[in-house]
Amino acid sequence: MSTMIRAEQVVQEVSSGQEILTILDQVDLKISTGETLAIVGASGAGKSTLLGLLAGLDLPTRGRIWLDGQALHDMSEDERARARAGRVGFVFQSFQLLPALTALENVLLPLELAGIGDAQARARSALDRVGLSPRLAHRPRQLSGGEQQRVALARAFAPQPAVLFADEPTGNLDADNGRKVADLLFDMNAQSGTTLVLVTHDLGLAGRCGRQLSMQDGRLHEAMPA
Amino acid sequence: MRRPDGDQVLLIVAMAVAVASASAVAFFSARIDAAMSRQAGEAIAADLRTRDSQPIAQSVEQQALDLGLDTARTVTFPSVVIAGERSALAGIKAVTDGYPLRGELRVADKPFGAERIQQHGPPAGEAWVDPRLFAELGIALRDEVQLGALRVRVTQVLAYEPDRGGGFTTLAPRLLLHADQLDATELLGPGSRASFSLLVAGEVAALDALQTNTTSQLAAGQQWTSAEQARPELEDALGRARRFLGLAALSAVLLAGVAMALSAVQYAARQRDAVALRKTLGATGAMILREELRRLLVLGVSGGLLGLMFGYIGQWVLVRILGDLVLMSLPAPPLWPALPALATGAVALVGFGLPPLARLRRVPPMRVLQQTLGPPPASVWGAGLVAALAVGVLLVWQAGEARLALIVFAGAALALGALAAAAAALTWAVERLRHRSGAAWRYGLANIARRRADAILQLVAVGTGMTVLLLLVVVRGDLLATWRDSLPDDAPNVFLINIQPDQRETVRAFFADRELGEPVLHPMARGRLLAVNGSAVDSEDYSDPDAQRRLEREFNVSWTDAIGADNETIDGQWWGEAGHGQSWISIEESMIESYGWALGDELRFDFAGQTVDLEVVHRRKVEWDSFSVNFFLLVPPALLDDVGATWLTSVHLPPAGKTELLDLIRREPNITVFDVDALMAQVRRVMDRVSLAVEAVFALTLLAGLIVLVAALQGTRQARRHEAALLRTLGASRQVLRQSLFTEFGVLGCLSGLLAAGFAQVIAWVLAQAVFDISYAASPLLWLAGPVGGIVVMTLAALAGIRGVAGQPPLATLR
Repeated sequence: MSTMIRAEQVVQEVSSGQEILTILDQVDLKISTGETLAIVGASGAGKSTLLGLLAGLDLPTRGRIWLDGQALHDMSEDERARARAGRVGFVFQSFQLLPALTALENVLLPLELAGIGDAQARARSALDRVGLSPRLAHRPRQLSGGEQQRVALARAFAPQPAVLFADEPTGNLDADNGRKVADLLFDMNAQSGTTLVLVTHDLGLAGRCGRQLSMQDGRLHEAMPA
Repeated sequence: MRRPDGDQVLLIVAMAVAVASASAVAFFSARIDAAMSRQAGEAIAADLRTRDSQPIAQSVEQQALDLGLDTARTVTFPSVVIAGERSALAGIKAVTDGYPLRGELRVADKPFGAERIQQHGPPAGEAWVDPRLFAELGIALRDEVQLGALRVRVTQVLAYEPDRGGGFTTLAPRLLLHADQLDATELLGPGSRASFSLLVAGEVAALDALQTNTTSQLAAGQQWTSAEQARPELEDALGRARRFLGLAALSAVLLAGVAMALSAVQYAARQRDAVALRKTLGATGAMILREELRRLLVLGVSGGLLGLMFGYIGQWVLVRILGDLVLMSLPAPPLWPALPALATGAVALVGFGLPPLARLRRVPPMRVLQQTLGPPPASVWGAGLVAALAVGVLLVWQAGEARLALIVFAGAALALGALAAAAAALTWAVERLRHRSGAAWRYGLANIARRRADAILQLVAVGTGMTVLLLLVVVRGDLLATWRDSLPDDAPNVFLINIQPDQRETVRAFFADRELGEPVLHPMARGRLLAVNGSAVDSEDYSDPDAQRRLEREFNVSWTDAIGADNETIDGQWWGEAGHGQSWISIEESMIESYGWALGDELRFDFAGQTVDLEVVHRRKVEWDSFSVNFFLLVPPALLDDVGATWLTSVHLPPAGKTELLDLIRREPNITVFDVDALMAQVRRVMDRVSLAVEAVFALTLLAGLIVLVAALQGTRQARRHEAALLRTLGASRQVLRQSLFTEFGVLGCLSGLLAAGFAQVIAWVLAQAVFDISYAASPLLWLAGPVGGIVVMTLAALAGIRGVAGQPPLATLR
């Protein structure tokens, strides 16, 4: 199986006054195409930072990262943005929908940014898949938390991305809504065969992934399935 | 105090703009006031003056001299001055040795050079002329000019004469010479348009005695005027100008107030956590309020001082623009206007900025545990009332009277309401457009729709300033050009007046010889109205100032049996040839209305001592801008043949013909030539200057509007930063982000420009119809300048307001 994501000797440091804090310490990671991976760990362990670096949202202090064969560590911010467009999907803990746009427009956004034709039909169909066809014209503030996260799922899957990054996707939802969203996430992922990188401290959710890694003190360890 | 943050900086800038606009006008007004009070008593260059179109009787002057008073005489009249091949219409003033009795003349060695005081006017053989005449004639000091039959040497630049009057320029530049040379000019024939004054100065008791003794000897219309009585007219004109500039400045102050309110609201919102924490640790509401008041004071004083600095520069700009129209040398500005200007800023700051800060004292300490808790909701009515009160106080103060303030308040509220409604409609319409594809376009338009209240506020704030500027810059020029175009190409452009009976043939021959057409000569006699239907008239009986003025002077009356196509009968019957010798009169519509006369009324006139009774039999409407010679009053021919008439005519001359006209003036110097083109150029020059000054003040209004825009943007900065990060996460490049910002503010700018162009167009139509009576089509320039100006101004301001938003790394922001 080909490699979708590769990280080599990734170090992330931040300076806080005189002191230098090491967030990630020489992380090596290889994720195969179509694989589902969960990264678990305590708050502040550096899992979300790793997720952001793997997606090219920032550059590591040192080390190299390839996403779908592209060397993110050699790219400018705009080049990384273009590399993401249409190829990478995101689901965040706090939904991160654009408040100015309707549900449909939020889903259209990544399709348009990637220049994908037939955007309208695809966005409508994605929202249909998450059961929100009747709420196309609603704005985020008119939707419940669970509904907002379903719009975010539709937005993530609509461009048929190669990779989906999910950061605590059920963290802001009650148990019932959390379960529904998780079911949808894994169903859609299974149907599309997307590589999934999931960051969570919910071991139950992590257990639904094919592989689990645990983050401790900035380093990755193999974790036992829950 | 800590380094001020963005909202505080905006509050300082808003305060600075408010104080700058208020103080620029206040400093400027104070300079004019100071110049005027220095002039007190100088306004007529004497203690008492009597003035008439006939020389004042020698016996009156003799009585003044007998009472131990000083006297002087002046004669003023318009005439053409010639230097080589150039000529210019000047206001000639001939003065006797004593002039001026009060105040002083100031002269210089070169135009606008250093001024020297002269106690008396020029000696015989010399002329002093004002700087404009140097320019118009292209002469230098010591050059000779021709005035009528007299050649006279120009020996001084006349910088200031105390009784120039009016404050603002009279149209023709001055030429001052000695009264002994008047006869040599041969300019003053019977019926010429001169004004003769007798000036008197001295002890109060003697002045009183003179007034008592001579009142019965003065002819009708002649009366003594004191310096105090002469001043109100001047003060009225300047007072109106000052009030207008003051109110214009107030529009900037009020917009700045809105920016203060926005900044204060945003600042307060960010302070809530800190206030809650301090309350948890024991701070009381009163302590919080004291601290916020202190902060507001520091910000207000910083902004105020900054504003005063710019206001001082601003008044200097106003003086540069208007300085040479105000025919007084202005003393350095006093410092006291700083106080009312600061007070104006303070009222705006307290009215708009304090309420949001004051509410901080009511933030519940429980907020440290529950972030959603804020102070109890603001009473919109309460905050609105405080702001409205501030607006009211400022308006009444600036307008000087409650009624005008109320009218301005209502007018402004109505205009702003209309602007807001139009802005709301435009934003609504724009939202329909967002369903076109393109992420940047969609997102940019979506932002306008989501922050619709902000968008409307920004549109109104920026649109207000732009409307006024478009009116001043584009519409003014358009209206003038349209009006000029509406005149026929062969409309008369030269008037010849003061033609004596024996010169009629010379004039006709002059035009015939040069094939310049056949001028129609109209007779004119001047008569004083004595009675209407048997009752003596008194100017006090009429409220219309023009009606009063005409009664105090003389009416121009002409006679004819044929009226031109530019005269239309409204009432009664035109007499034609049947009218010869009949005691009838035809009166122009507006004049008959201003006096309330009707057909059948009997008017008694005095024409140079000859009393004539005339019955009103005809009422006409006159199309004045045909530029042909027309009269308010017409009588049949053969009625006034022996009262002593002068003749006048109007002709259309090509430029070459105008040069040839100089020959006629050289030969017949008493004939006065009015060059309409030159007069129009002078009127335009005055209008240009005045409107440039008003533009300068309204530029501050636009600036204040832009600060409102930036203040509103400041409040959305955090959210925009977050959204930009999210867009980047989803794959948007910096370019896409920039495009969406350009879309949002380009569209907003375009809308504000369209709004301003629309309002300016409507106002232009109303002005064209109601005031100028011309048809004014849609102005392409207006519709181009508005949107383009709006896009440029608003995009630049917005980019300045939210710079750096797109540059945030997404990871840092999403955390």
